[in-house]
Amino acid sequence: MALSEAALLACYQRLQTPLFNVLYRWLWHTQDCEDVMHDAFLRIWDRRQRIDAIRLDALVYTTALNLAKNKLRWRSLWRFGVRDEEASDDARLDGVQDRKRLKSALEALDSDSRNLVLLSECAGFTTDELVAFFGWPAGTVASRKHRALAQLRAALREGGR
Amino acid sequence: MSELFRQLEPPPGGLRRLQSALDHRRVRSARPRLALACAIAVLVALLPVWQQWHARAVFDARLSAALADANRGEPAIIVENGAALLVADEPNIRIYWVATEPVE
Repeated sequence: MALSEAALLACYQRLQTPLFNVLYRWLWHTQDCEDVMHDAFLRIWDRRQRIDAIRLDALVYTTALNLAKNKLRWRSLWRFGVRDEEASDDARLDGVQDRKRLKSALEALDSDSRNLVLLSECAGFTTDELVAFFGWPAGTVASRKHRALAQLRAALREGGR
Repeated sequence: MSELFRQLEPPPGGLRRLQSALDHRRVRSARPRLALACAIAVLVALLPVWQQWHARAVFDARLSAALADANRGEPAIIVENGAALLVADEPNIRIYWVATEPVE
């Protein structure tokens, strides 16, 4: 059954805060996060005939995270065109020092580990949801999450010194 | 860990932006369908006119061909007392072309 507009908008309302929190820890730029969320939902809307409403939330996260990675790739090509948000008003969203430490600690993680941490800590994914999202066995999810969090804590400790 | 990942609120207006983008797409996707519907309506309106024009054109073509045959003296047309019997496709139909000579 095709996705309805009401279901898409309800999904946006439901996910906008957790998704923004996850994306912000990838992009560290409010406007970029908004644009990625907007584009992700529009892409899903364009494919609405083939979308199963049960998997909608996971699809939103997957699409948005892929778009965020594309945005980061684009930024690395055009690094002079990107505004430094640390010096802008958006820095108020996070303590500047904490933000810098967290940013560098997260950047030290590989992409999957970073997503594991962000989806569980920022979006509140349960283990079952993480299993469905990554397609890994529950044991793998648990061990990789444990390892990623330990790695993040170690990186934060080092950054705090 | 949770103090580092304290919840941030997305800026307001995202939902409205998405709604207006969806509205825009709906209008854009309806445009070709509307154009197609208009084209079909115009064709339907013009169909009787075209049928009439086509029938007339066919008749004129057959008449011209028959008269040309008459001029060549071929048996496709029989001229009798100033009336020309045109040979039609339908066996039950006889068409006569009647003309008068101008009086001098």
